[in-house]
Amino acid sequence: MKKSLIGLVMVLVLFSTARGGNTFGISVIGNYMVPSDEDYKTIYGEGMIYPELKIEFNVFKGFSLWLGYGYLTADGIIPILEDEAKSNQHHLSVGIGYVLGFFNFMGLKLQLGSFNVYYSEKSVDIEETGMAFGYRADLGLMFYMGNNFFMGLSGGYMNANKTLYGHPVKFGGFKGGLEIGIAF
Amino acid sequence: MKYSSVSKFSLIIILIFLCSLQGISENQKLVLKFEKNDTLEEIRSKIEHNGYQFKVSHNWVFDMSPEQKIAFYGKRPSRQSTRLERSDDIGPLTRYFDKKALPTRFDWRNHNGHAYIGAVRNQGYCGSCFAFGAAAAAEGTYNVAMNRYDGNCIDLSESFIMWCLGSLPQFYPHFFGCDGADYDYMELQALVEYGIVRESDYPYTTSYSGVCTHWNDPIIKFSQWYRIPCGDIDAIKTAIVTYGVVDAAVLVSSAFDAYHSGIYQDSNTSCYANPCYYTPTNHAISLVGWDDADGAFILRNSWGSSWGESGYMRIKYNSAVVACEVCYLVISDIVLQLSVSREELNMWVFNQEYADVSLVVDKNNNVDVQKYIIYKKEAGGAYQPLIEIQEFELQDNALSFLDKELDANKSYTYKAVALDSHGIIVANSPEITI
Repeated sequence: MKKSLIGLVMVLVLFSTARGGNTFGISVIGNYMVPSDEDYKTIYGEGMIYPELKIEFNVFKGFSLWLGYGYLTADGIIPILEDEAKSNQHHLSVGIGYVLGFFNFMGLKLQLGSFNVYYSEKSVDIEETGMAFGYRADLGLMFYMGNNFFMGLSGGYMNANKTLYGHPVKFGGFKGGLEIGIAF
Repeated sequence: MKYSSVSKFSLIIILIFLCSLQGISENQKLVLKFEKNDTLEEIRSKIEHNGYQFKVSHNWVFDMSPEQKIAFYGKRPSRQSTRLERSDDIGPLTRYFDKKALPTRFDWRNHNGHAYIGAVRNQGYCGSCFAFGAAAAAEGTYNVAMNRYDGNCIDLSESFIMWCLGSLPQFYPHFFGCDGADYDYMELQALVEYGIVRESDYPYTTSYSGVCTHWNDPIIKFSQWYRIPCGDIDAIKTAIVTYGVVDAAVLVSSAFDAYHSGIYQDSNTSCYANPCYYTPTNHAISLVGWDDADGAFILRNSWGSSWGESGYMRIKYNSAVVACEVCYLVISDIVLQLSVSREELNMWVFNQEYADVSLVVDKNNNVDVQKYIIYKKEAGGAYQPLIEIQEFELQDNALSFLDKELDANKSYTYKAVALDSHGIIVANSPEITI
């Protein structure tokens, strides 16, 4: 997974270099997510902060391709069993986006993409690992500072479903965050 | 031929009158009482007349001479009245009233596929029924408390009651040897004060050497005995299901002697004496269960397996005054109520089976208990201790925890024991398999 990620970044960097200008952007987002799954909330809490790294490549008049990677970790207690539990989730997303610019320093960003979760959930007696696939949609309001920096507020919804032991499990949820990035 | 209106009316009135007379005679049909020396034909005729549902036949008891029967029936009025204070004490049974849901059928001969009482015995030509009734109650109580069943059922010595305990001066006026026992149930008091040895140490005998040589044999003592309120069927059932086989007495009739099968019934249903548990009886038996469908207790007799239904009788709840003098033994004033339920947690990605285990200890404060151990075993395996808890660690005499070490495809059996300060088991819960 890591090799694929690095490879894709290198291709995008090379392509960006070939085109020149502000066609390439990297941003870091601090997200606060409210999980969709009620069981997950019961174990780990109503919300959690997790970081995300996003790489964007402008391809044509505001349209872009983007790649995101987030890492979520949380500690909780499984009710009834009273066992400690630890959640580790790698969120890998890829998709397309569009930025509608206005006032020369602002942009409204809409991004759609796949949402792929690689999870590892552990308790005292149980360890569950696996992956789930779904979709995500993000909307952000960006502020451009000079030619190379931008920051903004973004929010979105991520969802990936899976059935485990006969009952549905939902990954993702609603999120909101602060994004800071550079463009070159 | 035509009748006038008046004639027709008169005829109708006469018919109605005749019909009502017939109804009265049907409703007021007298119940015929079984007499001492009824022949089989007379008994059968009365059974049919009364609408009873049991059969009679010749057997070794019915065929005894009247003189033999007088010596044979082992229950009699007290020669001296020694009313014990606890005779009016219901005892710890009150703790279970309204708490136990009584099943419609219960039988210690087959409880969860196991027998908690041994084979039926035969007292022979000896008025020792009191010893068999007491020993059966003692065996049943011990087996339930110690969770011993089938081949491991204990067999206690009737001879020890008859000859050793009966020879003690305080008990001799109340019971001895083949001479029977009175209504004071001092044979149960003797089991509390002195205990009883095993059958293997002192096998049954109807003759006495004059000296008891079994005082140093291993003794099993009971902590107390109690009477059950006269005629309280639910209390009797509660005692049976809680403590095991109970001791009781009946007023035997010729029909009782000749009982072969079915649901025995007679007209001796009232506990009329004062106190009610002195209602005349002449034979001690024990009760091992009941069946509401029959409206009957399951009576265990000591007349061998050829009598009745393999030595047992189904007897209507109040017939032969069977519900008047019922007593139960308590081997320890402690009862361990273990409950185990298999559960499955299916939350988020976590799926785990577990057993919800709870132990409720019901005991008197003077019982010496140091700790409790809950054991667990897999099917076909040996018991392993699962948890050990000190007496002072119990909260409100209860303990509950989750056993998460379960394999979905396996069944497990749990039991709990209480140990005293010497490490001796003083109580044992029934086994529970999940």
